[in-house]
Amino acid sequence: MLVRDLSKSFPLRQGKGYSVLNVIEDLSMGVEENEFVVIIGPSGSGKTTLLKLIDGLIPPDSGEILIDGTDHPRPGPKMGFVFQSFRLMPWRTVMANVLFPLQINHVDRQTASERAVKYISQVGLTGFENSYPSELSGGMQQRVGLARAMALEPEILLMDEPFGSLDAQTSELLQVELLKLWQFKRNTVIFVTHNLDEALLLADRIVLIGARPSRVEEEIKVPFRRPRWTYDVRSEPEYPVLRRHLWTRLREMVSKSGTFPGVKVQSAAAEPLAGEEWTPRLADRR
Amino acid sequence: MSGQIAAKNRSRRTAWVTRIAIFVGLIVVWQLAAMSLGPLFLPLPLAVVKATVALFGNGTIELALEQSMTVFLTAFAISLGIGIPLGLVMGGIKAVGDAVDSFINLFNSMPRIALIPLMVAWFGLGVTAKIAIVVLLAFFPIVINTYNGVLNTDKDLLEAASSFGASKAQLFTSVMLRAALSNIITGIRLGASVGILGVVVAELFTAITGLGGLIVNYGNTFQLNDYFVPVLVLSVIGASISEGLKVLERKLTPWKSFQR
Repeated sequence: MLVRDLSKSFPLRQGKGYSVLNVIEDLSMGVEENEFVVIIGPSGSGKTTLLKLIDGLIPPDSGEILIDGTDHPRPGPKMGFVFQSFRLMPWRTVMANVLFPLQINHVDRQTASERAVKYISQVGLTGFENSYPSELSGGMQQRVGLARAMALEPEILLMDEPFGSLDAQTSELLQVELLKLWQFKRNTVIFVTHNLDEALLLADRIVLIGARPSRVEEEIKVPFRRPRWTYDVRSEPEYPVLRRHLWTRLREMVSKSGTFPGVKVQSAAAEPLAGEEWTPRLADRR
Repeated sequence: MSGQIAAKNRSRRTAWVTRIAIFVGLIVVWQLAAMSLGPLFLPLPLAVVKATVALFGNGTIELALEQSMTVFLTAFAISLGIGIPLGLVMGGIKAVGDAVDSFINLFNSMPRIALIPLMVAWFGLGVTAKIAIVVLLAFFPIVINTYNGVLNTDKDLLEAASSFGASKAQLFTSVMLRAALSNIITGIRLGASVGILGVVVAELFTAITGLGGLIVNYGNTFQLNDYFVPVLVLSVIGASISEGLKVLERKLTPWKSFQR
């Protein structure tokens, strides 16, 4: 997949008129087949917008997105989307939710139900097929979200901070499960987060995008060997170096743009590394 | 799980005990009020029971009920048949919704009882006029709630469905319709209750028939024992329709019973 000179802006209401908010400007990046790419950037950068553009949910103002050489992606079975807020249909059971994208894309009944059963079992929800989302915990709901996206057997899995609204423990568990699932069935994953540890655990490559208007600031290969759930990635010697580098870059972007109160970093990361002063901007106003 | 079910049963039992206690309380208050006001102003509960038996026995209520229900059911069917599809189309096609919505609001805020003389002028005093009056009242809550139900579909769910490649038609049938279901049933319930009101009003203002007719006749001649019978019958009908629709809603939206 190749993204070339992509730009996207939105009208921004200002008093009676509108101004233009440039969210993404001249962004270019490539993703290899079966690569796990994590996009990281300050909040408010166009990470979600970028995913929506890649999926074809919204059209770009200019630039192009080439997937398998074809232009103009359209939403469909080639891509599976996992959302931060789960977005399950409350009136559908787990089974029916996972079946939904398959029905939409006219996958025949037999295949559809086989796949639904398979992916529900892969995310560890066998036995909950007839439960409604409201009966499940957040972590379980997102497992359904994952099964739903994967049941399409998409070429590209788009994940928009999928574990961002879960508690730390659940999100770490799901990160590992995602790694295992991906190891079994490789496909291309484009994963958005602002959690550095999550990025370093999951990614083959981290793409750092800047504050609005966003473009690619840096790309970093993550060297840790796979499978990564079999050992403690954090105790690798490169880990703190990479982490510190990313953290510094993110902080630079935030203080440069000056628009956003701070980068959400997990509590352990909020501790400044030795010799560094970290003052969240929110604290300035107190 | 079994603990939860037991707790649920317990709370249901408490609700019923309370319900019966309130009912008994109301009868006692009625009895006391009737004893102090005298039978000319408020009949005794027992007298109303006797009148009920008598009026059902000689077929008076049955005849009136048939007349009233013919009007109500026909008008309600028309209101549903036009109201729900119209609300769905308005919600599904934005241009139609925007255009028609203003007129719906205009008519809805009009005191529609004021249009009864017009209905009489157009349709006379018979069944047709009565049906028209009931439609006039029952139609609007049905359209408005259906429309709002479709309109208020969670945008995030629509986007999620689109991301999997759902077409506009698929978004409508598999997301909007389901999301609107609760609101549609609410509309039906509101429509039914103003519809019952409409039947009585129509029977007062046009040719005097049905349960509304009995109410006028007995009321004007101070036969208060008999007067209370059609009033109670109408209340029971209204409450039954409303409760029936609640049960239907629970059956159609099973996921709601689990929501915390």
